[in-house]
Amino acid sequence: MLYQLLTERARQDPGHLAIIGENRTVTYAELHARATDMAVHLQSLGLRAGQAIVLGMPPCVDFHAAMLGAAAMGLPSITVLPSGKLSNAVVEAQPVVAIGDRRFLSGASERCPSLRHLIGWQRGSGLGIPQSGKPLKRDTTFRKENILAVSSSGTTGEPRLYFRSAAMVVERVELRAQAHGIRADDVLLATRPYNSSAAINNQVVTPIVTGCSVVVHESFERFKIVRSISSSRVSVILAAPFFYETLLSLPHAVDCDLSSVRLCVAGGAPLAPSVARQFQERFGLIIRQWYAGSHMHPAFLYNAGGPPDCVGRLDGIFPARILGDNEQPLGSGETGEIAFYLPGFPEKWKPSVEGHPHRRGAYLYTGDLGRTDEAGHVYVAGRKSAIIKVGGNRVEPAEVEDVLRRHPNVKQAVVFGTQVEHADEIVEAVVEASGAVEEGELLKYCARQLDSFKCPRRITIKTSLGRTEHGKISRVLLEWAAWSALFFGSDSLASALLAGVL
Amino acid sequence: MAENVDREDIISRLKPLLLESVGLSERSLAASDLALVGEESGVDSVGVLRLVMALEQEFAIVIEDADINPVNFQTLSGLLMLIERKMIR
Repeated sequence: MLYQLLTERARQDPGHLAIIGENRTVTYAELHARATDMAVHLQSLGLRAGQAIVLGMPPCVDFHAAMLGAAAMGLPSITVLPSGKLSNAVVEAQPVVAIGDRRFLSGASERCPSLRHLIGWQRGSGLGIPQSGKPLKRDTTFRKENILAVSSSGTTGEPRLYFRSAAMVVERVELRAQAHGIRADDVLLATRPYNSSAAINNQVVTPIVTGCSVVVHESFERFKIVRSISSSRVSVILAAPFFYETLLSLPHAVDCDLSSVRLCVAGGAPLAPSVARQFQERFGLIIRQWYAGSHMHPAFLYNAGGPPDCVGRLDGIFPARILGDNEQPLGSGETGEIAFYLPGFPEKWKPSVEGHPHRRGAYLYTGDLGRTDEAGHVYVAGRKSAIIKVGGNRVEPAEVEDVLRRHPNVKQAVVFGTQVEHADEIVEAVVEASGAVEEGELLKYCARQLDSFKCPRRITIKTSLGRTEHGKISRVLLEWAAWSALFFGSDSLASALLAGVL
Repeated sequence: MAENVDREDIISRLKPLLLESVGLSERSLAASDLALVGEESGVDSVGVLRLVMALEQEFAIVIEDADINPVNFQTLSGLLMLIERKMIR
């Protein structure tokens, strides 16, 4: 389905720019040709639909070609950071192909016994596959087949992969593109690495669905990216709040020409009102908030024109409620959990939420706290769930705890988030040691096994962790103690309190 | 432009930033050379950018894209030298 859409784009407007990369710009015809080369190569390897491939490349033309080529064969892509550290969930998915640079392939093949084919990629040289120029011979349109795997905690707190069909991905992107009014003459700016479904949806699939162009950068460098906004006449930015903070950090003396931009949207984490206000004062642009992305599929809220710090309205396409502890809707001004009201969903979307992992009864629970004003605008107040949000990425504490517990001298571990700035967090851990171990050693141990945004920034080592009357470790007490130590200083009263609490 | 750059002053102002921006612990900072970026640091690109933004604000300097490299950001001593160079200009 996705490949068919690409084929149609290439037929309708072959010379239209598809991807504006750092070293290379490709039209839709050229992108189609490269994706076809990848599909033909994958076909020659004797792969069959449903067998997964793991992609570990930075945002670049070759990534798009690889993923679209895989989609043409009905092969789901598991997209990870180029560091090559694959989670247990990825290994359990038993991918058969890995694509990335030498370092990534080395790490992936060490971790993943299921891999049968390694396809090399090199900056400047591209993908190590033949440019056959042959058309793809197949008679299957992959619509219900999975083309993308996303990582989520589900209801258990343990990270796992959820597979998305081509139809689901395209429908999701169509919904969002329609909400934002994205057109073929728009130029998107890719702002995220490609290890998240949000990045894939916004930056890889949206151009195919809408016919627009996308500007991609292999690395996140502020000055380079802001220059590209004006040089490529970027018109739409879909980014995490941290991206807008980064633009604000640029010295006023630096020429930041955002005159081509017509739409800025923030999603993945709450946008601090101060950031929204400063951004509007400096650049004359309002940042609109997008709430509840891929893990809440298909539901979302979008602030198309309300107060800047709201995320949408209760009576949007996917109606929402603020629920109290008794799961009854609350009135305006009261804080409760944001939940989507399933009976109010458009009919075509109801079947897709039947077995949703976050569904209970008539609601889809977000794990976020919120409130409304009298006009029905929704404001996010904080999080109810344990998920840690680091610069727009989601970190499952259970995944990091599992890594720490596998250290030979760690008996138990508790991981949580500590807020540092605006709504961003850092990962912290407290461990119960079973032998001699230093913080530095554990930090390096985590860095070898986890993507860097998941690694704890601080690890406190104790000989014993406190237990509640039920014998459970109190995550809440540990979080409070760690927050106090951060605020008051590690050699102060809070440190004594930490020792006392534990 | 600073005529005389006081290294001790920079260190005293830098350490709280490292603690707050990227969450490094006191014990980690006690090491004379500390990997701030790269494979074993645990500080990702977002963390590095947060640190860059905090440094610019604290020391009234501008850190270019080309300055963000392992030579300057791999170790505490490298970072100190970068800040000193920027302040002297």
